[in-house]
Amino acid sequence: MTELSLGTAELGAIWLTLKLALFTVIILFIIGMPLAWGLSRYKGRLLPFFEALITLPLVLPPTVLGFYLLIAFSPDTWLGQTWLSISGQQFVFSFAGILLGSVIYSLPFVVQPLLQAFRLQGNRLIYSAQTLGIGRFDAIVRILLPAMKPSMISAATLGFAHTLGEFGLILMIGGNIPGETQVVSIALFNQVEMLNYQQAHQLAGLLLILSLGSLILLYKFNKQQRTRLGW
Amino acid sequence: MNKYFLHRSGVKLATIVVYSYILLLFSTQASSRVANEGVGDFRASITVAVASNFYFPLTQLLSLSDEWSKQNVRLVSGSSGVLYAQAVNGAPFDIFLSADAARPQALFEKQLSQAPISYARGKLVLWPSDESLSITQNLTESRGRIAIANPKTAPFGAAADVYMRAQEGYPQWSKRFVFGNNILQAFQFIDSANAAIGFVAESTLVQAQQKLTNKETKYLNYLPLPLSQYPAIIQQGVIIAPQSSPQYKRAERFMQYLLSQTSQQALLELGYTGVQP
Repeated sequence: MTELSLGTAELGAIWLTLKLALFTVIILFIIGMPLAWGLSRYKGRLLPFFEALITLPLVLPPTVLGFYLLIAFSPDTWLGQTWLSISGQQFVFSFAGILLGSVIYSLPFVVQPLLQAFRLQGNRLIYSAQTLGIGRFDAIVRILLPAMKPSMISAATLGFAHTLGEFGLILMIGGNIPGETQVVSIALFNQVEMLNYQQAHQLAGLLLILSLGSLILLYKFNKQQRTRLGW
Repeated sequence: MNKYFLHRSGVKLATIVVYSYILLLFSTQASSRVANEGVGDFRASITVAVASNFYFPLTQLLSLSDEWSKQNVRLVSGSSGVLYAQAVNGAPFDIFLSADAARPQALFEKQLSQAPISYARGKLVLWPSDESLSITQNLTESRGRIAIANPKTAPFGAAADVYMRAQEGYPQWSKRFVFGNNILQAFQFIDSANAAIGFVAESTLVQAQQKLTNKETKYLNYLPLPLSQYPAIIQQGVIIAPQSSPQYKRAERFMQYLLSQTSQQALLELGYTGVQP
């Protein structure tokens, strides 16, 4: 075992990565819940298209996304200009930039579990509740959402863990700025490039433990949920 | 119904987890390209691991040679650090052409290769530049980010860093730095207009200019840094093929060709300085 002795740059990268993952999950829940709800009730012809669009980041190499973001948000374009005038900051090379990238990149990991839950439980639970004279709003807040808790935990954990492992996208649009865009996976890559294999080991081990740990917690907690509900 | 749901969501979850691991694996792979020069012998005559900044020049050099343009030379390109790590772990490279001198030296010290040989010297330029102004004026008058390759990992970045630290404007400039993973990415940041100005390799601009189809002069507006004001960017290579192997002789001939007058002359046109007298 190597001795754990991380420098300030590495600690900054760890903090930044956790912040990025947390913000990504929060934003994805704000977007993902209504999106999954809407999609679970949508029966139109464009359904396969919307589903494909949401699943796309799962199969698309992150470099594709990074490349398009780099081009689209260049200060030469209207999109880049608009972003600059709203946020006062350039999109590429900023925390906001990698955050938006992460939100797109981790979208399927959050939306898919939610969508499945809404599809399988949504209408059934709400209709049952309504036959018992419970109002629609109450049915959603007090019956559907608690019943969906395991799926929501899955969504949050997968979104979080997936963002921890993000690399190609941030490499392309981050610009490697310590404290702003230099996340753990990038710091790790730099250490490998510098032949500092010991520091690389520490960061790689940390990522492994964090990712594995969150997944173990997910499965453990979700199992308890099931047994408590008598599933 | 509930059991069915659980089963379905379990499978779904497992699928997503598997996908995420596959994606993670793919995203951390170094980009590697394989160029098949010529036909005939199906098997590659030799495998050369080449630092990405020298990939294009090497293909040019190979096409100039009667001997090598006919052979099936397999080129594996990536960052020097990644290629080094692969070589140490037994990747089947016969030759490793690094962008620096440190990694070939490290391979040699581990007794995994022959002694390092210098094959090219990189040239650093400020781009885009107004030629009527000095380098300092160009930097000071530009607005926006200054792109350089990461000084900690890329020789071109380290050289740019040494140069700028010696200038008065450094404290101001350093606030505007953005770091490319390598010299090609620094170029890409500027080329896509996300950075205003920066230090790139002349060879990258030569390559970009050659690939242009229209008659733009965008890649011609640059100022070379005085060679005396930054540490020499010496690129070294090593033969990895064991002396007992059939590839060894070919690897030796390959290195000879790289150091020949034909190659070294051609390198001048490709944005490098030769290393042979």
